[in-house]
Amino acid sequence: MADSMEGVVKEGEEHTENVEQKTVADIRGNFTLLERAVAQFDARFTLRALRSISSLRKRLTDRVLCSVIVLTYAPTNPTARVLIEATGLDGGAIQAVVAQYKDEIQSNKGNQKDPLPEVDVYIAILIQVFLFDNKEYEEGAEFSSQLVDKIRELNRRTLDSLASKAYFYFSLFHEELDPKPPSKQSPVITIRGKLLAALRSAVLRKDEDTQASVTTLLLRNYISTADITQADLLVAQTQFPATAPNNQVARYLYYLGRIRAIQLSYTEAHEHLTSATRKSPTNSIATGFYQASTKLLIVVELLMGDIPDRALFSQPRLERAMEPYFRLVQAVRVGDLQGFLKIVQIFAPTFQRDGTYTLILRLRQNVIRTGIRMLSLSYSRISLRDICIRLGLESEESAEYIVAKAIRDGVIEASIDHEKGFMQTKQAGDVYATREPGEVFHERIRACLALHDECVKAMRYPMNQHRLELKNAQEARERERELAKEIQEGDIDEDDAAGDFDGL
Amino acid sequence: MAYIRHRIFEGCRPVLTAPLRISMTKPPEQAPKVAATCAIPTTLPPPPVKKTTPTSTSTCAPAAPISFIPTTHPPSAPSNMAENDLRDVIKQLHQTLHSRKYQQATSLLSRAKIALLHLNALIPSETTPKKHNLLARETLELGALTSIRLKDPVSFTRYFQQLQPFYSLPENVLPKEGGNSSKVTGLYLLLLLSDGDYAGFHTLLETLEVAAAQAGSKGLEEDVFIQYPIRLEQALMEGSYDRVWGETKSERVPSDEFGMFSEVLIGTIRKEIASCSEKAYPSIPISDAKSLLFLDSEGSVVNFAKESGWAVKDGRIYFPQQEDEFDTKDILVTSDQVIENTLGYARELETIV
Repeated sequence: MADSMEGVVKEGEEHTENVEQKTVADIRGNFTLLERAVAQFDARFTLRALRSISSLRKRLTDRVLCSVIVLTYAPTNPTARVLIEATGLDGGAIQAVVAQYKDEIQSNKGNQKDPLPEVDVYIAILIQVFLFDNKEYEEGAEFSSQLVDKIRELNRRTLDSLASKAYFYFSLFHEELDPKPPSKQSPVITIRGKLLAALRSAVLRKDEDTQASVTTLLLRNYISTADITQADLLVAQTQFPATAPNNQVARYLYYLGRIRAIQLSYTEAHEHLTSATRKSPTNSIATGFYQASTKLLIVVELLMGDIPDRALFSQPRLERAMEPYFRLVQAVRVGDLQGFLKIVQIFAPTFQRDGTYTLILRLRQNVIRTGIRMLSLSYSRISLRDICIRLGLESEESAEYIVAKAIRDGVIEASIDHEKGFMQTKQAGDVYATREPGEVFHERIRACLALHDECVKAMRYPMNQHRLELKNAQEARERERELAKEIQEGDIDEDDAAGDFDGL
Repeated sequence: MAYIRHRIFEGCRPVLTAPLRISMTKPPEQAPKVAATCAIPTTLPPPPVKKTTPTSTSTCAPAAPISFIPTTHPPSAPSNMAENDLRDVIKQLHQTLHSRKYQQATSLLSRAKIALLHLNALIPSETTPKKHNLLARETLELGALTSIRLKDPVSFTRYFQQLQPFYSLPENVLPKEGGNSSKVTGLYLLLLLSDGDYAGFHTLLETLEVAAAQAGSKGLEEDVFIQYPIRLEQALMEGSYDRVWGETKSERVPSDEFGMFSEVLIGTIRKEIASCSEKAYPSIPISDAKSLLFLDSEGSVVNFAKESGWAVKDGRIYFPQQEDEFDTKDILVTSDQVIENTLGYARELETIV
């Protein structure tokens, strides 16, 4: 029994050893990708190396990182020292790792050259991920600050996509430090200077990856402490790079939508948020982002006086998170003021957590307007007292002013008889006799055409492919010429070629 | 000469700062006495360096007759003097505000601000002592309230902006107690509202909401000064103008300063009501219009109607008839638009196919 137990333990150890070895091999395999990226100046290889982080993430341990460093660098390399220190492994453990890989280190010794800075940064990013997953935020923040400083000094275009990732974790670590935002003493405020400097350098160096990611990080930073004015100024003063990765564009649009919603430009906010939800990745990793942007989108739609589609709420990855919003939409749709206030009260903590509370409070007038609209559609004439009772308003005078405002704003087509105290609905004309359907139709066609244009722009072509095609075309032309020559010379008889056909 | 002056000055700078460090932590005891004799309330305090150079720097003082005010570490004696002076000025400010002599307050305020500059406390820094922060906040708040009384929105906005760094200080550095942060913020919200700057209003509100949620216990709901503009905004947006009218009455206003905006707000709602009435009523008796527009006499109703271009006949106001909207939306009028669109589609299709 005891034997078998030991066996199990041993097996387990061997298993972890294997996983470790494999992880180390995987990471080192990515170095070749990075080297190729530098040699061919093609960012796609770097991106592929970065993409593998999500699969490496679960297998990262301090031992793995240490092994990779030991195997990659010469023992005297100063970078290696800094990196190993950051993993937080103590002296004894490091010695053990070195002993384990003794042979390989020995064999490497002859042909060792200094690794590329890309490899340095890649390992550093892995360390960042490792520290973040182990909740070592203090160490991570300090290490990241050093890292981004070093990256800024390096100024290599092949580092760009790596740099944007490093900045991402740099900002993430500081967000986790106490006191957390939205406190005005949060460390996120102190890193603004560094991020702004990074943005400036990125723009000057035409480093669009870093530019995009730092812009979104800054916006997130400002919004986290509710400095909306500053965020707005940043948007006004900077240009978001057109070639930014899709994920960054989605984030940027989300923050932009948020700013515009707070500033009451609902149409703009709606536009940005719709694009953000559409651009958000469809896999389960980005569900949080999708939910957050959809929540905001729903509130903005309600504020614009629209009712979101029922189908939106029945998506499997939204259903549960959207429940409070679904109830909210129901209340607004029927113009039930009391029900609306009740829902706001019940779900206030949820809305506050989502950052939609202040926006939802603005909905009150929309609820009233919807209510008036419903009444004007159902009755051709209704007394102000009844309106007041139906909508739960405070006084008849209030009702009169509110109805008058609704008429002026074009919510309803009606008139008020002040002396007799009723609202008279005007006969609605035929909408199809106006140009309105045409306008809506035009709008939709334009949207389709814009979608087509965007699709064309989003297509990617392999580099230098057109030359290959040119070459092919030239070859084809040559073949044709040869064929023509042969025909001319009579090697292939035209009758011959078609002869069989006749025979049939 | 200038060059020599510079050299000498450079040379004596370390001498200057060395005793300062000490004096910052341990103020000399005789300083208040000096301040009491020096502080002449009617004139501005003299530039501090020349008069009160510490004895240790006297060797280089005659050689450097430049009115140099060290910005990082002011000498202790003038700082104490400035502090006492400031306390004095603030006391006077309270008195003038109490007796409603607002013009006089402005000159006092500029003196107070100069004193603050001598203390280097106009903008809070990590080294600014707590009592200076308290004094600075009090001065700026008084300034803000005075500007409201003087109906000077530009200067009020400036004071409000200057107060922001103080309000964002943590509780242990500068306690909220004793400050007027919610009053000043409420007034600023009201100012934005009366300007019709709804975007600014909501942006600020969002900040407040987040801050309140973070502070936890006491939310915005209990803050009368903040709730007042919020209530007004809600009433304005949904159109219950009678509620706005009710709120502007003096007994409903949370403090006197808020009443300063009532006039502007009533003007705003009257204009709003007028534009709504034009659309909502075909005609209305003058007596009803009087109550509707919150005017005090029928004569003023007639005047108002004339200003707005309404016809007054047989004790009724007739609003100008709006033309039917369908005419403007007629499809035939827009045929050129339709043709243009269709041509556009054709062109796009050509590029696609």
